Amino acid sequence: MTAEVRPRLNWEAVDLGFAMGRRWWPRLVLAWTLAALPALVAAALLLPGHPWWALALVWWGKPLYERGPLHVLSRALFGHLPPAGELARAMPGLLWRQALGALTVFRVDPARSFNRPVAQLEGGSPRDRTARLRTLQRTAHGAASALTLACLAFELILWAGLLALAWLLVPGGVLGLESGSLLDELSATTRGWIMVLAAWAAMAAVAPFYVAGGFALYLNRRSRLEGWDLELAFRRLASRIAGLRRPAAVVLAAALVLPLSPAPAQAEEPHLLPPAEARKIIDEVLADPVFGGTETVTGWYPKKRATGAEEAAGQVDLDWLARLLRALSGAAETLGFLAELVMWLAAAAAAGLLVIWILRHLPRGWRPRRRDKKAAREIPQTLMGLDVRPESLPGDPAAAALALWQAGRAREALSLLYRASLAALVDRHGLRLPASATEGDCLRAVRAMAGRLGADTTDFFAALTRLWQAAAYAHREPAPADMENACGRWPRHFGPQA
Amino acid sequence: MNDSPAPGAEIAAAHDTAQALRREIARVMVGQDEVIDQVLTALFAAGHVLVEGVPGLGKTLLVRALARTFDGRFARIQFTPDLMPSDITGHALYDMKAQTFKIRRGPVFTNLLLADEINRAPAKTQAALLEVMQEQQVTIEGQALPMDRPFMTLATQNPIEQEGTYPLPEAQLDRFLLKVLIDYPGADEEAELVERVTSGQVGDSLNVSAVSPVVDAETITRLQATCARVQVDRKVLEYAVAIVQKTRNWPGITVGAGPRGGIALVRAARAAALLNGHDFVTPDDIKQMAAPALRHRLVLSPEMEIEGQTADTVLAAVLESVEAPRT
Repeated sequence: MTAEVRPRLNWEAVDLGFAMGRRWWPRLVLAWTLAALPALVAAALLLPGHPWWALALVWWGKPLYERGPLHVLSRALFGHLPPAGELARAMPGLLWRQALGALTVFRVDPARSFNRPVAQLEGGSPRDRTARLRTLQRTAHGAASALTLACLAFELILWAGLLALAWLLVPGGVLGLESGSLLDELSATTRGWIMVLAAWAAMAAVAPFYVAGGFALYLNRRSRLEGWDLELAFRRLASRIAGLRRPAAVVLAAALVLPLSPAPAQAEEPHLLPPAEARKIIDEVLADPVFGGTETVTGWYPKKRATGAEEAAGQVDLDWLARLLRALSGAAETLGFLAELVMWLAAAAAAGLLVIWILRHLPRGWRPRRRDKKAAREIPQTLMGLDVRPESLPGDPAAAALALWQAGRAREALSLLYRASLAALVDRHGLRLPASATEGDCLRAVRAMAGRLGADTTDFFAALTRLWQAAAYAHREPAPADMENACGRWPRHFGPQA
Repeated sequence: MNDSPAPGAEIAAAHDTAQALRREIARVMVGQDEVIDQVLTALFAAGHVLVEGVPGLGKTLLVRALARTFDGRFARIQFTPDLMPSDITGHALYDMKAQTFKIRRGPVFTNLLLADEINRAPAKTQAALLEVMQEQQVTIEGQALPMDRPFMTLATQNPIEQEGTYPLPEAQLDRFLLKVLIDYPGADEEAELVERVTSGQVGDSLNVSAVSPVVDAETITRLQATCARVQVDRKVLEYAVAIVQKTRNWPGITVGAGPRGGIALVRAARAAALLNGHDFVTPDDIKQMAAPALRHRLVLSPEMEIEGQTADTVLAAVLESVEAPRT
């Protein structure tokens, strides 16, 4: 024996495996390569233009390559490190057995490193193997899965590290290359193959540790479950004794083994106890404090669980159904909570959007008054200092303007007419102008609406604008005819009936 | 200057003259109506123009055609890094025979001066020209020589080539009444332009023979006087000042326009009113001239420049925010 086999914690066992991996690393890698290198070459020949597919193919075959290292480990544990020639001879037999299952159903099993020793080293029919695996995996499955994950991470890190090393060491920018790096000059396929080779090397480096870790977990599990370490110790003893002279060996064996273990002594007795008596003896033995006793533990448990258990107990026939439903309802409860949360969030968002939409589309009078810039720009209440709110205008602007004109206040009369026209446009025709709009801007906006207003109205507005501009900026009184004409025609274009 | 408003007949005559000038120039200058309008505005306002545009858009053609319309003299100075101030203004020569100094007038003594690529000359040469523009006179050997009237400078600048140039300082840019941006003409107009230049003509030299003189230099001077008497209401004046003031505290503008900006704006608006056929300035005239009169007087903040904003877009926002005048 080259390793000390004793019951350990799972992590300790994996550590032992890694120690073994370090110790026999060259031979283990050789055993891995014997299968993996041909696979890589075959994949390269098969898919020369698709490095990534080739890598996927090689990666998928990993369970097969791990058989060689396992073979090496199982021999090396007992002190025989198989030489390369022996390995090569053993390889075909190792590879073909159960290859189909390993590459299909069991390929995705995360505890592969732990399962493989059972199949490869113990043999047996598939049914036996399944039963045995179920027993062995009870505590080791989690550790084996974690081992797989850890090794995967190691592989990726190594792979990335190798690539980074290559990229760092390749001279860049010295050869006058356009892209600045020699690697960029390579074709995508060539670069792909470089990456595949790096991946393969990373897998080769990690594989021995992975296989050894799984193997050590297996050994540990057997030691705990079956006292395999004791068996090995006895075997060692036996082989040592066998080396001595025979009579002395028997005496020694009897002297050493018999007092130690009562079970073999009983097994040697010819008669069997009846079951009832055996049960009594067993109870006596178990009553010994060595085997522990009954202990009363007080604690708080939720009531619900207890009633649930009672209900389940009450309906024995439907026990499985109740269990299934409980499991389902557990999952469903979580899902239901999430769905409800999403639903409430969506409802809140929809309500918010609805409120915004309503606020946007309310008629003007209903909208809450906000004194922000945008609203002020949308509905001008004053234009060029003119109040264009309908409230600020008299009921009949044309008549009022005429009265002002006759009173000799021509400018105010024109201001009123112009203002009333704009108010009508804003209010009735949805004209939108910023507060900075000048007369020219208003006229352009009105001309843009000519299709709706009619050419007649547009012309009237243009003439009115001219009159107003002359009065406002040149302090020039309009001609009486113009003014009367404007007042007379105004109701037709901008009056309430227009 | 006479403060009384210009009579309507005078305005109408001025408007007709402006239309005639515009029509004549448009005979050779195709697809640049806005540029023609702005240059005429500057001519009426007796201001100078900075024209910015890539080469080959007809800047020289424009100046020659304009000179021809009023039968004025025309000179062109190509600015180069080794151009000296005396190359522009003129200098005194010692006459051996007469044993006296004789003054040789430079090319600046003309009606229309095209200062091509003004930013290629170093600052002292630029300053010499700008001083002439401002003072309207040249001093050589202590002798002040007044410029002919009308005198107008059109300086050009290339917006794409910045290497080996001496950008005009802000203070000097201020002396241009307007900065006119000249852009490529539309497809149809360009086709027409190519046809006009190539049909029945040897070489690609500019042909302004299609332009016939409409007025004389005298009339132009009178027009400028008429223009100065176009009425500006107090409210309109305040509107122009409000715009200029707004540029000084506008976010995105580091340095706004100075008082000279407001002066230029109102002067340009007067000329624009004349071109539009009014005898009074409306807020629309102010608004129309705000961009050409103010765009070279602003210094945008670096953030705005990085965002790709131009003085024009910022000015549009300023105009949007200034309320039109109250009357």
